[in-house]
Amino acid sequence: MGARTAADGGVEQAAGHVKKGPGRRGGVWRSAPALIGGALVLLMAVLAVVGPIIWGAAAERIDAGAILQGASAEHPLGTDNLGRDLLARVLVAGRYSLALALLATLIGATVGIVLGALPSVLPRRGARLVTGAVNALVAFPGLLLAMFTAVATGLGARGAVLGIGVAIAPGFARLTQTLAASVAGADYVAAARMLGVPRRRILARHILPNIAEPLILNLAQSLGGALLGLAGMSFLGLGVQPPDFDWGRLLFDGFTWIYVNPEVALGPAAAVALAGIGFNLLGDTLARAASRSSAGQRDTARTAPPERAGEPDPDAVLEVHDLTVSFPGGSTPVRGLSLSIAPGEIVGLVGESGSGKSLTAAAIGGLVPYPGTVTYGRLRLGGADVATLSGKELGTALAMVFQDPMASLNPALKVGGQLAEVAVVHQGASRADARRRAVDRLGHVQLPEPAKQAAQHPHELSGGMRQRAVIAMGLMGTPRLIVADEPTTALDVTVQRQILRLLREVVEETGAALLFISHDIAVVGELCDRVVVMYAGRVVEELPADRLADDAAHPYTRALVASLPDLDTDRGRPLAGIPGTQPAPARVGAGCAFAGRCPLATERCRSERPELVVHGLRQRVACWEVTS
Amino acid sequence: MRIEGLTVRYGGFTAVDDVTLEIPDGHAVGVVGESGSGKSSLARAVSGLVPYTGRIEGATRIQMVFQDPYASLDPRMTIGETVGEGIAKRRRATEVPRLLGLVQLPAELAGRYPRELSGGQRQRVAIARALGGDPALLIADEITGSLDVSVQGTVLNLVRGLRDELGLSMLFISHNLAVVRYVADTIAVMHRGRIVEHGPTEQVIGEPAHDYTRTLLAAVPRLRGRS
Repeated sequence: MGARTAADGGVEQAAGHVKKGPGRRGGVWRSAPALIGGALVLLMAVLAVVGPIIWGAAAERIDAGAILQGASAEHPLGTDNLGRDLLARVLVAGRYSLALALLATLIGATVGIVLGALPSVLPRRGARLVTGAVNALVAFPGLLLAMFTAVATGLGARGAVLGIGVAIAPGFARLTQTLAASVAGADYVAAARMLGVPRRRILARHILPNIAEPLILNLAQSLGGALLGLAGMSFLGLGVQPPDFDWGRLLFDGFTWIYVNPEVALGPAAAVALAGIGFNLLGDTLARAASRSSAGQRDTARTAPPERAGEPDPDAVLEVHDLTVSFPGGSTPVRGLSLSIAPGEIVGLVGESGSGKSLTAAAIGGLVPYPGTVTYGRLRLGGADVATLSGKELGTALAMVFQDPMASLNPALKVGGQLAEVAVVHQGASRADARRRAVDRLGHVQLPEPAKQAAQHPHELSGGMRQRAVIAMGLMGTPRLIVADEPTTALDVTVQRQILRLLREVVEETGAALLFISHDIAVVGELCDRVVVMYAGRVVEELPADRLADDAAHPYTRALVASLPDLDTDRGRPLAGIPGTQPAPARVGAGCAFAGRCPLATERCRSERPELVVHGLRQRVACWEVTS
Repeated sequence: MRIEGLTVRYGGFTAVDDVTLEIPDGHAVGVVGESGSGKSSLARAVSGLVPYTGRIEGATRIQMVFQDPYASLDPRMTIGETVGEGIAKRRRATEVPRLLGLVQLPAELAGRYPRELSGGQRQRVAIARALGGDPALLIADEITGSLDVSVQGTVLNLVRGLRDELGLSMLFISHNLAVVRYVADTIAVMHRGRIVEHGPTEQVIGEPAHDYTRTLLAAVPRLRGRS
């Protein structure tokens, strides 16, 4: 390995690999569908307001001399059987068509939401009855329901609106019910119940406000559906009756002549289609804007700044120099972090939530989510710049273990097959060889009966077993570095102990290094050789783990150690805590980030940031008060 | 109050199996156990949130504080509305600032929303809401489980202080023995739905009687060289 590093070091191109991710962001409202949808809906709204005012007279003017004409300069869409101008009629019918659609949607939504919310307030039997009724209605074809209602309530606009409303209602009811059920399971609803808040009030104060957003989104899309449905009803002759007319009625009248003058049917058809498309696009856009926070993960920009940062360390498995992870909007969760790990070394990276420790791990594995940007002076794994490593090389040299083993395991596939996949993809092994190796590795992580476990699905394994399987997956290659991000946080203490022991054994056996990331300073102190303490994106202290309890120098590290209750803590005295909170990644100031919570802080700490400097044997500290 | 022969079943699975537990007035009873041991089901049964068989005697006015302060506050209600939820309207204006004061939060927070608060502050709000129900028994289900260590200490101090100040009885549930030891007068160890050991805190920690308690104690991570 030493030789390889030396060779690579000579040709290291520090000047940078720029993998540019897509730079656009937040463009939900600027996308083509959004613009088209918005424009169409706006056009329809304007038409509904001004249409009858401008073209009202023209639409009613009967001209016996121009009956059933085709398109001409005077009548671009032709005329109907009384010689009325069809273009004017289409433009005028907009208001009536849209008003009916709106009415039908409101009826459907109101009935649906009431039906959907009722089970939350009714006694158990009543709730079951309503739920059953909704289930039956959902199973019924919507148009059939609409036609049946329309016929039963009498032909005409009223029947059609009621019909479409009834057809929309079951969908709304089901949506409301599903959303309400998920909110009803929330802890704050349980808390309200325990405080004796009546169910009506829980519905009004907790449930409805928290499900309003998706319901409103659905409303926009239903409007498009109602418009099409009403046009369909009128077209079938079940809807608007003469002398009234909507787009569907115009289509119905024009359809008779479609083989003679196609344009007489074309006008209303186009109007219906445009309005329907407009409302659906707008609904889609609203839904996408609402879920924008969970935008999909994409390729992240990874840039290496041009400046060189000393010579690379030939003995390090992992060498990180000046690593920064930032997000648009000025948030920089990791700030100029440097870290190096020797082969076989176990390094603990500890810090509270938001300190940037997990993003550091993600940056090492190239897993920082979009739209984060990663820059570094040097990021070398096994002597090679990670940007020059292929996915295959990275996949075998680096093993990652996460807090939730289910995030690393596909629930649909058997455990053994998933492990074998690694060997097939990364090492080009044959299926049979890969399977044998998978079973061998599972045995290696002390999974009892590895051959049997390999044939099981992840959900059939306990949490500890799953985490063992994920570690085994990392061992399918020959990892030089294992990055474990809170691997035992979700596990019980007794299982945690076993996994910690396993990790140590794996390190001793394979000679791989381990970067162990945890919020739990006790676990880190117990497992690791060396501890790196992070605060607000920076390393504030680095020291051998066995000296953590007695020799920690940085006020933050000392406070962390002091605030940890153990089985010998004096119960008579209050526990130490750290007042205040860690600054958010966008609000880290110029000075020491801990100054605001530090009992030793001076004016200098607030204005000038201390660098990490050597402080005693194998220890480095970033603190003005301790080091000077 | 006294819990007698309490059993909770979910379908064919018995989460809590014939548990009998005494909580003397003004005492804090700690319950430790691993996931699946039934400790949270016990809490939910005592709170009346899940159906159970058995008897719970002397249980009036029970309130509970939940594990995750990010899920236990309604994101669309202000802190004042949340804390005042269980209080009669006319007393709200005076009670909300008093409750916020009890949990050492400034009264100005009443107009804020949960998203503007840190995890520790949210958990204080959840405690204030529970105190608003004037509980005789406060159930704390893993209340420091989602908090950072630096915040955990201050919340535990608060809970202990409130107990002394208000004479609350408590059922304090956690997987962390060190945390339970710090708060509770007696500790009940749960394993597979049953209480395998229950005794004074120092005794359970110092001279554990049951093998499972010894296993749990041995698994607690400790800093090396701590003096």
